[in-house]
Amino acid sequence: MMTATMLFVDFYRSHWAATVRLAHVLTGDQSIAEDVAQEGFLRLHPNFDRIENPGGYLRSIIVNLSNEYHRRRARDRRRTTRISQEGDRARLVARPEDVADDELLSAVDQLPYRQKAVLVLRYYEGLSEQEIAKAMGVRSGTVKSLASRGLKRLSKEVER
Amino acid sequence: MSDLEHELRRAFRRRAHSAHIGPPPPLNRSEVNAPRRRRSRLLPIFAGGFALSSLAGAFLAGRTTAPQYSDVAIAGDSTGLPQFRIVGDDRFEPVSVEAGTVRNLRAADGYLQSFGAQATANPVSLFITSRPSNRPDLWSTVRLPETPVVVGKVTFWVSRGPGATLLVRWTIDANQYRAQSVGLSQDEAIELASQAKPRPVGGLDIGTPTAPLFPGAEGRLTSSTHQQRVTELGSATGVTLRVRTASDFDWIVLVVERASVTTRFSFERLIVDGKTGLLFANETQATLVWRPAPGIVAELRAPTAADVSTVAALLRSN
Repeated sequence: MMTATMLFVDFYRSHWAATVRLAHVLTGDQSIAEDVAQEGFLRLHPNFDRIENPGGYLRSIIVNLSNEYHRRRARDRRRTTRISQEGDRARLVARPEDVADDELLSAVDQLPYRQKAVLVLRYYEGLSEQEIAKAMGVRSGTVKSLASRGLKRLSKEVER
Repeated sequence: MSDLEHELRRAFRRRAHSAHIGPPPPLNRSEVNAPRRRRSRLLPIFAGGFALSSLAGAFLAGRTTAPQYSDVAIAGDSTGLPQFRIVGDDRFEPVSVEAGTVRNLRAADGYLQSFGAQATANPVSLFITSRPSNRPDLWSTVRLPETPVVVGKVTFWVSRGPGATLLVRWTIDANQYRAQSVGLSQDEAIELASQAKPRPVGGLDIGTPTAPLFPGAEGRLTSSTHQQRVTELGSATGVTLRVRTASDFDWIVLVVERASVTTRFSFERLIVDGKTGLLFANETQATLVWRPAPGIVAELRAPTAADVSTVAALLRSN
């Protein structure tokens, strides 16, 4: 019989990559994403055997932690934006669709975090409104509204 | 679904898969097996952090200028608030420190600060080094945690008094570690403070003078069957090389650098806490920490892929 620790280790191994990826999409930075993922697993661990849906619980943690990182590092990011943009320009030699993706992602990164998180959970994770609401701790109506506002703002950015 | 939504989906997927994700870092067993408790990461290390006071006499060591240490100093200024700055090799600065974000919470009889070092791959060990303001020549160092952390945060607390300087040092390997402040709620801080009864660092009984790192001429080589090689690595007169590890690895890596000593690739089999380990020296990197008694503690790290291939080549050549 598997102990709780063994189950957790198993869960950790099988969910590590996906968790880092989600955090990466949310934060846009791989090293931060790895930090977020680690912190997420550490927060999950004490409650692991009491939680019905550890995957969902972990996702909520990741969304919240990414938000914390956004806020905490906003100032630093502003400072490094110029460097990032230079990096983006360097990538302009890439395929046209990659350039479009970069521009779109850049616009997504400018969205308020909750709008961004809703879009990530919907279009990357493929979650339903109810699932997103649960992950973010908001009502379904709020999810709908955040998604709508986010998409509208993105549309405007893309049209420019 | 609109074009925009399709594009979003594609862009998110591309970002997600642009990350080069290796296998998950090994779990820190002590973390996972720790008894369930609130703030499980903080309390034991909190206690350890305050052991800085009581253990200072027992764990004295000096500073090193070895480039693989990045030093973060928190020095009190006239306001008593900490200033967070890099004082060592600044190669790792971009990834390591959030300047000015160190928590400085006033406790009943001292300051509390918390820091975290997050390891994402190889084991990381933290060295908390402090010195009283009235004896700048005396450094005391405590290694926390006792077992290098492989994944997760190492968080520790220290007390410090006005005027004391605290150094936090951690082993660095290819930007895999980052240091960050760790936020606690005010309630948590107060609770922890009330449990810990911190003593100002300035009031420490430092004990015997600090031994320098890499003392060279001190100690004796007694344990190695390959005395010459280790002597070349460690000191002109030989040292007692006592490797302490809680590693689960089949072999360990000891990387030594000493600018004044010619080093070369070498490896030895060692008995490490009853396990057979592989001593591996490389002149390009180093981590060797000395303690005056009972011997030298070699700082170990897990073998990297490069180490494995290098050692494999050496083994083949022998």
